[in-house]
Amino acid sequence: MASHSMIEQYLEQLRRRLGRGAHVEHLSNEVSDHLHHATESLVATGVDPATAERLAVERFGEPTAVAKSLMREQVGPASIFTKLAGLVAVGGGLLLVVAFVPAMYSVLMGGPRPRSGMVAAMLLGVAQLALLALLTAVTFRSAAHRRRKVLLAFIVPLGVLSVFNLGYLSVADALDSAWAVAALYLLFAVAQALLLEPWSAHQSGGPAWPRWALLVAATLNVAIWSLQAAYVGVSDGVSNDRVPVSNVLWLLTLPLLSAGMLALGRRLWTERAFGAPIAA
Amino acid sequence: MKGDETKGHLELLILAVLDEGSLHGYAVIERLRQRSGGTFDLAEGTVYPALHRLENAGLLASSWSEHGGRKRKVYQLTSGGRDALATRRDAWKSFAAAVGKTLGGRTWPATA
Repeated sequence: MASHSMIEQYLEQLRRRLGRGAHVEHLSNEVSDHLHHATESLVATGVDPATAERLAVERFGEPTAVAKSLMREQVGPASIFTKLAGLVAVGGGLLLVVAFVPAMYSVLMGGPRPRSGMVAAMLLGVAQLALLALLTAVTFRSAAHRRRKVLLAFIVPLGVLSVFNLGYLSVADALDSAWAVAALYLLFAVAQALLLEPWSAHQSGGPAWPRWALLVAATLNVAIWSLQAAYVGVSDGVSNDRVPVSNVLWLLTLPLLSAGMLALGRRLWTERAFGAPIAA
Repeated sequence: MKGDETKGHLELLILAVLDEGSLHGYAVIERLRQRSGGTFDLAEGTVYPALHRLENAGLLASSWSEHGGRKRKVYQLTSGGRDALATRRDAWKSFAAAVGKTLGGRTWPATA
């Protein structure tokens, strides 16, 4: 009998797409039994073991599609973890809305940084922490164990950056620190993309636009801010307050970021089970 | 016959197969294939969501057992499942008879 390596690979792919929770073990055991049984039946008819495994896996279906249809039927109470992630996302989205007003006021006023700029910076810093918590939460519930370890390596610098960002105006104004801000934000962009990817593979239904809005807005947000910080770094005497065009462009990403977080928060809050959306 | 054509009837077919006795998922698929003479050759992964849907609806019950070192989930009809099967079977027979009459009972163009 073959080592069933193809079956194990298939099951690993399936588990990665099923997320976490008690349902994963049950579904995995059931599919495993099916694939082994199918392989044994084919071998009994004279098919060689390697071909039998391949046929069994092919007949079962592509793992992403199978995982989606299996997850659609999982029911049960939503976990507190999922509910909390939803609350954090909604809270962060609302904070972004609130921060947008004083931030825009600050940018439009120009000149010496008005008081509203610091208020906006503080609110944005907290909102960024909420975004970080949301990304961490969805990563934990969607990525396979080994992958989570790699992703978590990004979360530490993200946490540092988020706390750092609480006072970003004063930090970015110090020209010597501008390069550090640029580098950290680029790291943030990469980490966001990496954190959202496994969740995207795990999604089992519902509209796709919230995660795309979040991904595009978060990437644009940090990309603009990185370029701006880099520009400040190479330009003697240019402070963060004197780059109004990029400031406005950056601010325009906030409503999109907010919409993505609010929609995803609502989705997480209304889920019936770990990873299973309410059927439309 | 491929999945799209059987999609709307898969639940009824599963209930009918399980009316003969308890079966695990692979056996359900094999029985569907055998009883239809190979016509219902479904993508096997599509049958499990239907089994789980029927279980969530209370029409099937399940239990786990051990076979050759592997855990195996076995499904059986509940009393609600038997009632649902009887109702859906009657509805299908009426529908099939009506379709049969409509398709096969007249020449075209119709001459009154």
